[in-house]
Amino acid sequence: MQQLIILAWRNLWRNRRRTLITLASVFMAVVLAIAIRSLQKGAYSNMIGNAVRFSTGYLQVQAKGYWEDKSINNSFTADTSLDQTLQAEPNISLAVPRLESFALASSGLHTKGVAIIGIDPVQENQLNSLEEKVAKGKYFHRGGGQGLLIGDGLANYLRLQLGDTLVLMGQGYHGSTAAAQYPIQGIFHFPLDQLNNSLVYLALPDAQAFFAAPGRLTSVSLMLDDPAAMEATARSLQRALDSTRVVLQWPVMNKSLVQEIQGDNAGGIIMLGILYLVVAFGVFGTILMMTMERKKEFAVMIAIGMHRIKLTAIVMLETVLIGLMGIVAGCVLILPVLLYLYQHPLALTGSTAQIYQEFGLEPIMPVSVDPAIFFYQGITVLAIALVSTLYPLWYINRFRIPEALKQ
Amino acid sequence: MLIRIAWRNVWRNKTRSLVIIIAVVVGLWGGVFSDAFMQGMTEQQIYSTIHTETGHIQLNQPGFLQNFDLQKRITNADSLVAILKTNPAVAGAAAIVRVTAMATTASSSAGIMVNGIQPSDQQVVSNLSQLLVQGDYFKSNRANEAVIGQQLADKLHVKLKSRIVLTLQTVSGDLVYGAFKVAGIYRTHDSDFDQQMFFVRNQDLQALIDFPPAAASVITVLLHQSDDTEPMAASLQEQFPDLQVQSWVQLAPMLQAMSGTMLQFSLIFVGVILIALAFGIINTMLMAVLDRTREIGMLLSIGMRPAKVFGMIMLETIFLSLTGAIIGVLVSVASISWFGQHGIDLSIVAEGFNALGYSSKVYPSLGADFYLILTCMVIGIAVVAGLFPARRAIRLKPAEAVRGE
Amino acid sequence: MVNSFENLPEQGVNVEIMKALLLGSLLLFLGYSAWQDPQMDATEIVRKANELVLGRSSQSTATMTVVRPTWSREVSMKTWSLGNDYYMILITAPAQDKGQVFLKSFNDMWNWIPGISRVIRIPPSMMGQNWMGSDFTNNDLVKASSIVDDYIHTVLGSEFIDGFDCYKIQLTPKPDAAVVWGKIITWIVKDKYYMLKTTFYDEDGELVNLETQSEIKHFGDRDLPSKLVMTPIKETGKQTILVFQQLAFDLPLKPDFFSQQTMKTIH
Repeated sequence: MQQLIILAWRNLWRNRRRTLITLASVFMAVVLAIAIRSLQKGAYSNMIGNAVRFSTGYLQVQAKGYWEDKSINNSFTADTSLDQTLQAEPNISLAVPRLESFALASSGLHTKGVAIIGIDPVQENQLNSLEEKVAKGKYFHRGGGQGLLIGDGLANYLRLQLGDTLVLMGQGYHGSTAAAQYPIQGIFHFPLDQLNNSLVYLALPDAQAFFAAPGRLTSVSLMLDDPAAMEATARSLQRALDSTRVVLQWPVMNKSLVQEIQGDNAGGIIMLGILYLVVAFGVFGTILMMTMERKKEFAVMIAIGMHRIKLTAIVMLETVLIGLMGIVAGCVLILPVLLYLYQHPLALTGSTAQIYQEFGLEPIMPVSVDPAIFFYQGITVLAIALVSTLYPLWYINRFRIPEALKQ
Repeated sequence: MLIRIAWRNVWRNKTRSLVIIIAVVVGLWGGVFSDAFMQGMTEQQIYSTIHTETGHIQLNQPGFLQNFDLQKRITNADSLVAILKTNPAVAGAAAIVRVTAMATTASSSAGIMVNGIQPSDQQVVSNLSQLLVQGDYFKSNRANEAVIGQQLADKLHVKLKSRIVLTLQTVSGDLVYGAFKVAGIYRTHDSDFDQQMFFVRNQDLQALIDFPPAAASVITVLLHQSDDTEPMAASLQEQFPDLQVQSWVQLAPMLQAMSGTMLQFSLIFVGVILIALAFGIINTMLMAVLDRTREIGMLLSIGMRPAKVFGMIMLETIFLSLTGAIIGVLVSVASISWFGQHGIDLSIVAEGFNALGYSSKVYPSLGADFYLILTCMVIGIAVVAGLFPARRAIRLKPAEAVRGE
Repeated sequence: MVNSFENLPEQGVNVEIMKALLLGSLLLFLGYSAWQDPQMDATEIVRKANELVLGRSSQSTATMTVVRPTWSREVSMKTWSLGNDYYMILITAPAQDKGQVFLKSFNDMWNWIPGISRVIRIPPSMMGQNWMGSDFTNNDLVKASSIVDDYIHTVLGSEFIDGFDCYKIQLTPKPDAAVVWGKIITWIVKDKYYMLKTTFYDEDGELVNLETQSEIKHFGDRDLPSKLVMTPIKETGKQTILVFQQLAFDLPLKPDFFSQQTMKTIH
């Protein structure tokens, strides 16, 4: 076997330009396939990152039973052991605690059902830049005894302005009645109208006092340094927490996002398939031409006594070697490019970029440097090269020496 | 004369020529088809939203969409719909009474949006009736029937013929209850839509909440041509200055952003395909030309000028590219029309796709101008790709060439 | 027939007797049918049971205990009612809820909270919420006469509950009735009309709620169960217990008593 490999290797370098040309076609195939897949995957993880940042986070800690029945009675205490557990988990980049429930907001003129969210202003702002969305008035500082933040849509409907008092009424923890009034401390504007019309923020201690739920939370949203390790993080976190708390992952909490990604991914795979067809033809074309060129050479080899099978093996090995070299070269070349683009992503332009910015999203086309991409694309291109080898193999075992020599 | 030589050369080595032609065909098809596919995907998402949910244009009282205030209604909706229907650009117009309500059953409840519709009008502006998974779309004449989304049916644990009790407010603010029977269950690709949107007959809703009969909350307009949307919206706003007129772009801005992203991404992809194509052709041609070293050497040594050899090879490249392009266009047109009719079922690639209610078929489509642009690009690239080997060829030293490699 | 009655003067008295017997048996037959017709009868029984608790008007003092697996809560209240249309509840304990008033007028509900000096009309979105954290919803409070008006009643038979002989009556929702139950079965004591036991089923025929009444006491002019327990079957460890300490009926209450003004001043 080793002898065959040496023969194959020597063959390759005997006709350098031919080898280089074939190598180049494999190289191109790998580079392009990796580039496309990396762009696709980058787009998906960006989509997910943006979506979870403005909704559930990658993971969420909740009391058991809260997901099925989002009542304030299914809240949990925020104790130091929870803090310690979250601190101890290295993949967590941000923990955002919230106490959320439903109440009536009344200005005397109008009454409307609203969602009340008790927030930690510092954490919340790090998550979704809430502070810069407060168009009028002041954002929260840590601690209680503050007013509330409402959307401009809601303020309009209730005919209220900064400084006016808003009455909130709802059901508190364990069935008690929650009723209190607060001054409007700030008015915010979100790009999504629904949020402007139905969201009210209170500082966490104030919300806890309002709902008679001191020290309690309905959720802690978690952002991760490495989203790809989400499942492992979720599992280790669940183990560290007692059975009264659950760790939910975003696909469970955001089904429509899952649908969207699956849809896009399916389309992306088809696109990749088309690319494979094109590059496969490139590789096959070169191998075909190479075979044509070597007809005489093969004829001579067989004529002087080499077994066809041995020749077959050598040619196969040649292709494998070229394939491997091309793939490695391709990976090595594209890696620094991708790493660069990872840090400095391509930018979206035009009206699309505008809309992104309105929504507080970065108008970029990011790339993914997931090693799996390199692996799978490499394997696919190798497969393409091997399939292309079938032609020379077929030829070698079929040709007749005299005709080949005549060429 | 050169042309004839070039032409004959092309057919002399069938395999080589075939390989190059097929490379061009595959490259052209790849670029065109992937572009058509991406267009199809984008259009399908937009199409779904327009034809199921929003229509092209929506009219309502200014401020209605903020709080769904019952008082903010279009008082003469019925006559407006009649006027809109006479417009030649309009495929359909429908009035909807839209109110918020609570839906309750014995074991659960959910906040929903009730849409009182005229089924005959509504079916023209929305294809929801074709997205039913169970039951029918107001076929019977029974009163108080409802068509709900699968998501909502699951949440409330109801099925066909189940009773759902709605709690709503009348126009004067009094509380009222209404019982509705589930006549049909639909499923779209948008599970939020499925959970919220509750459809009943207009007259049933109006009777329940004392809503004035000729009035409505919104009017949905579907046009024959999607391109008419912006000019139509502008003209309708002028025609009805007291109402808020919005296009789907304003009603679903994220959709616009997504399609824009797709477009930019597709440019990159087509670029990649063209690089792959160019490379494939360069390689194959290089291999081919250098295969003809002896022949070219002969030509040079018998006195053919290098420039003419260059010309001959370029002509060969052009013939091959043109042939490949023509065949490529034919193959592309055929495949895009076929798939354009039958759709590519994405569920073969993504399992469980259909189970999520996502419309899994993509209908590739491409405008004539795209074909032209792409074809020219491909030919251009093939020709440019041919330049390298041609130059290489004329650099050959005749003596070496004749000796062969 | 040859022998007509007129031709038999000597049998005149017999004719009268015959007529009387005919008429009598007709009446008896009609009376018997009426008694045997379960449809009309059942509705009357349920109506009587409903009226027993409400009377033309009523006033009461009661305590409600909400029991949960990990906590429980006791609320004390005074109530007033007028027919099926008006109802007012004043919370007297615990301290954090004291002074709150709930007013029902036909289908609408209002809530007065002294702490914020505001009367709030309860919107549709809150009607499904449980009242004061109990197993009764705001809807339940508002639809007191629903069991009479919204259902078709059928007597299924008789059964003994707690030593009392009861009609077992099935309630099926009328076609357009805005009720969530698929079926209700209630056991009403014969002649006394206590609703000792009521089971609530969803549309799939699964048992969702169980209500029992017990501890018959004498209040004012009638005997009534003083204790009502509502148990949601599908969730373990949950219960709401309502105990009436005092009940009075047919007071001179007028509709204008049930107003927002009264809410603010009642005690």
